[in-house]
Amino acid sequence: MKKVDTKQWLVLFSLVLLALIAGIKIMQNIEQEKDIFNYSKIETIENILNEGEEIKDRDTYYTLQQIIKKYINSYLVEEDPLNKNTDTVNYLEYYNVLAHRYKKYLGKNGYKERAEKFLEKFHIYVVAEIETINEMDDRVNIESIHKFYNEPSYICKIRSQEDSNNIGYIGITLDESHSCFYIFYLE
Amino acid sequence: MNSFDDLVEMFKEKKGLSILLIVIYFIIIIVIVAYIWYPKNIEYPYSKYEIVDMKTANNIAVQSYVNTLSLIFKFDGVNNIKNKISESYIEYANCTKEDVINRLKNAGAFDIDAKISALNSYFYEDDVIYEVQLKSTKGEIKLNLIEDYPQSYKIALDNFYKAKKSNVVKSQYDISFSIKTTKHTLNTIEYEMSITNLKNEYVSIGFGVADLIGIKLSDGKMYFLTQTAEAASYLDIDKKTTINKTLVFEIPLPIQEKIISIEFIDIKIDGTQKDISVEI
Repeated sequence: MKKVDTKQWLVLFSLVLLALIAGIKIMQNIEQEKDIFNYSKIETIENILNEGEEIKDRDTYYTLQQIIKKYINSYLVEEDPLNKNTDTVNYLEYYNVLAHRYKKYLGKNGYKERAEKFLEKFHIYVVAEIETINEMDDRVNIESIHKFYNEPSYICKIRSQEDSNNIGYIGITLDESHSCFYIFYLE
Repeated sequence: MNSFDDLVEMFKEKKGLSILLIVIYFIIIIVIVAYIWYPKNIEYPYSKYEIVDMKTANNIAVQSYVNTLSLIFKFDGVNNIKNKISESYIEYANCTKEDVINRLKNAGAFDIDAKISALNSYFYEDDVIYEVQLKSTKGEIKLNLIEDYPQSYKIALDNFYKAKKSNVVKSQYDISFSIKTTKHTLNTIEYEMSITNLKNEYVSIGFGVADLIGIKLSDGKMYFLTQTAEAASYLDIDKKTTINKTLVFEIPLPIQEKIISIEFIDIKIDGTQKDISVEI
């Protein structure tokens, strides 16, 4: 009988390892395909909202409103590379607060583009003779909240009070055990 | 010898190195699986949030409405306010939107010096009612903001709100109770109650006596009466007579939905003391 030498054993072990990695990846992709938040396949958020449950809970409304208000105001916070460990940071730092899958999907540049598109809807910039107005419209008026999954994940539809044609969508997951939130969608 | 025996021989010869390679191999597998599978979400200070409780939510809403109304009344007030007038109020007050606008104008609501302050807020069924006062040099007027959802509200004048349908219970002792919930606040609930003695002799109910009238919750807990509109110890109700009482119980708003009944304890009927439970 032909002997299996050391090199062949090493090749066999490597193939097993690669097969394991491939298997895990395939299972993850199958799971992702089933998820309504398969980001690459979302055409319009309005279709997704119908998959969720609209809620009218006031406590949730005001909790989400405070989070969104803080995020909107982060657009005009100065970038400070030395001071990233505070409550008030520039909107670019919120890349770290993206949900894991969303972060992988967007990447840093993708997030910057999405965030700017979303936050510009609430940016008031008027150059006048006497003074220039450069501020954020943080009078967050959440028109509707849709809940997804068993964990508390919400998509909020927000309309700018300054210009009612500006509508934005932000998806927020509340990790109640750690009192942390993650952003899983921006439009 | 087969290849498995060769492998065993190889391990025997290079025992330490072989074990080390196997251990490293499995560590690599575990690290790769962990890296692929588990999301990495680290907590940052700016990712923290606080749950807004009902009291804080109420404060946020009040401030927001006071600011919003101040702007609406001062700038382009009439049309904006007209669109927000409650249809239920118009029907209830048997008036028109123009009448409402005129009352507001007469009170100086649209004047530049008009000041708005919040007075009180409470739940009525699924809505939240905010009582707001508008004062100017011409006069003052009370408004009710009837909010069905945050930032979605209608306006009524005075202290308009719909009363709940009354409950009528006739006990086995021929005493009839009619109870209507009239007001919820963050810490109290108020009832208007009519008690009719259908018997041929008087009955005594201890309205001003501690621990004789209480609210029962679904978990069995009791909250006893803290105040009535009039002070009394035992109130005698003559035969075939009806009395009306306003009862206020100090119960926090989140607990009010657990209320199942009002309990009257040790009512003196026929010379004996009886307990009566009125379901709500």
